Amino acid sequence: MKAVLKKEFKENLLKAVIETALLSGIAATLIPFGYKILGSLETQIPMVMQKYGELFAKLKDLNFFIVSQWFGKNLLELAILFAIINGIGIIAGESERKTAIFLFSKPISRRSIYCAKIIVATVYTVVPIAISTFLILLFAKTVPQHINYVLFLKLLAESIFASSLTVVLSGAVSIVIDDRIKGGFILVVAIIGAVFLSKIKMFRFLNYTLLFTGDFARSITFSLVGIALLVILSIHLIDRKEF
Amino acid sequence: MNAIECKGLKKSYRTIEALRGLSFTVPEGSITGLLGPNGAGKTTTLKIINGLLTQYKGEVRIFGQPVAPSDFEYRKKIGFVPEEFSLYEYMSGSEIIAFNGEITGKEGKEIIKKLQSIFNLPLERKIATYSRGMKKLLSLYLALQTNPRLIILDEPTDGLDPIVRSKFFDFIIDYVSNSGTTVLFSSHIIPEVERISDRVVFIKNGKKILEESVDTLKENSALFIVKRENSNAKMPPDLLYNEKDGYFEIFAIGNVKFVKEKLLLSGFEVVKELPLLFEQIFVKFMEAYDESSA
Repeated sequence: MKAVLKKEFKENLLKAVIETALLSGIAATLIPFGYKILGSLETQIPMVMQKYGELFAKLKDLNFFIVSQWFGKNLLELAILFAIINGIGIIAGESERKTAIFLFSKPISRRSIYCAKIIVATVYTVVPIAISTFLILLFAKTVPQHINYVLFLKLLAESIFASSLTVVLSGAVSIVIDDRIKGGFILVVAIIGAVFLSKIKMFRFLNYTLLFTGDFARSITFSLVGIALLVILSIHLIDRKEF
Repeated sequence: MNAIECKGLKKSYRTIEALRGLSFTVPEGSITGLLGPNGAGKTTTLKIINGLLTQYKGEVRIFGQPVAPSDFEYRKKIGFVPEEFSLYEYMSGSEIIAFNGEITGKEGKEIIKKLQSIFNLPLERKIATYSRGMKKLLSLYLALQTNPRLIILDEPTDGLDPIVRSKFFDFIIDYVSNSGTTVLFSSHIIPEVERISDRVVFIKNGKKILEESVDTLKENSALFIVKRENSNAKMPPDLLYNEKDGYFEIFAIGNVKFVKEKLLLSGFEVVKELPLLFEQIFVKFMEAYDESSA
């Protein structure tokens, strides 16, 4: 397993660096810029302030801004996307490149290979999230406002667990569908479909985005249970997979 | 002891039956050629033995031990050169050898050095720059790196030029005679099989149709040219023949004595008894199987 871990870290490093750079770039540029623009609206449009004073009061609130713009928008979209990119290739990538025959005929258990791959894909998804979010904290230091660290860390934890769940979900799809584009497309359509379906009251639980910015205890529990179940399912699938 | 024992292997791909109760053995220390036309089930069989296919019926034993699809420890004893495969192209030859050594727990420096003295692959170069033949050779390096007790080669010389192919087989013969390693290999190139195998297993449509030593098969196969001794002589109904100008051509594959006796008893005179090339034996046997199964 150690050898496969090493190989996976090396093989996916560039992808992780690009993802980190992208997320960090957004964190370091869009967030300060957006905060400045939105914050200035209060003084620039006094009439609107009069009408929506209560809401606008929050615009200058850094915590409100971080929650709504970073965790609720930029990170949410990219974390799901990166998690799918990182997870969807773990087995399908080997099948597509025809390296699966080499790897899976070696005296190493399929479960070890799967575990090594899913660990690396998860680490490489979580690290860009953590680094870029840390940059937001650095930016927050430049603004003379109190930061709600508890809320901040809760949202970061939610994002990390929900992204990990997405990686594991993508990994399961990767075992079943030997084509990364096809598997990724099906997964994206399924997630978007579930979010749309969640507009109906009885299917509210299907709202995938709530895992990232929902009720903390529920999000974490749902993510952890989901990860555990999907790992068990994936191990079952990989044991039966034919190459 | 048998290095490989397959009993009643059945495997289907959706509606296609690839293996239909295939059974054969590979004795330890032998070089066994697995022969058959395209789609006979050779690659499927080799994939099952190597644990790449999991949904099949039947039993596989490696050195006496039954193996399940989830087993992997037994693969330490096997070196496998697959027919269709790829290696990590971003790695160099040396890097993949090191990676293979880490996975299998065997560095195999000596054997790699020996192989390098013969084939001299540019191991410092990225695999992406290798030709198909070079990749095939590298896969042989990887298969032998662990000093396996059993080597499985699926179309091993596909993509190799004739000189390298010759060196390849010289090496395999030399390696096996010095180490006592068992080899099971499949190939479309019949003279290749004849050159290195001591046993052959013919398979067709997922079934074994013959399992015999190469020498016995050659000794017991011949082309008879016969003519009627008397005008009442009738060709036995189970013999396939071609008739031309009163002479009959009859191929006896693996049953030369039986056919000869039958011909004599039926009132035919053997004019000539010609030895057959191994390739002729294979082709005629496959044709005869077609006729009999039709």
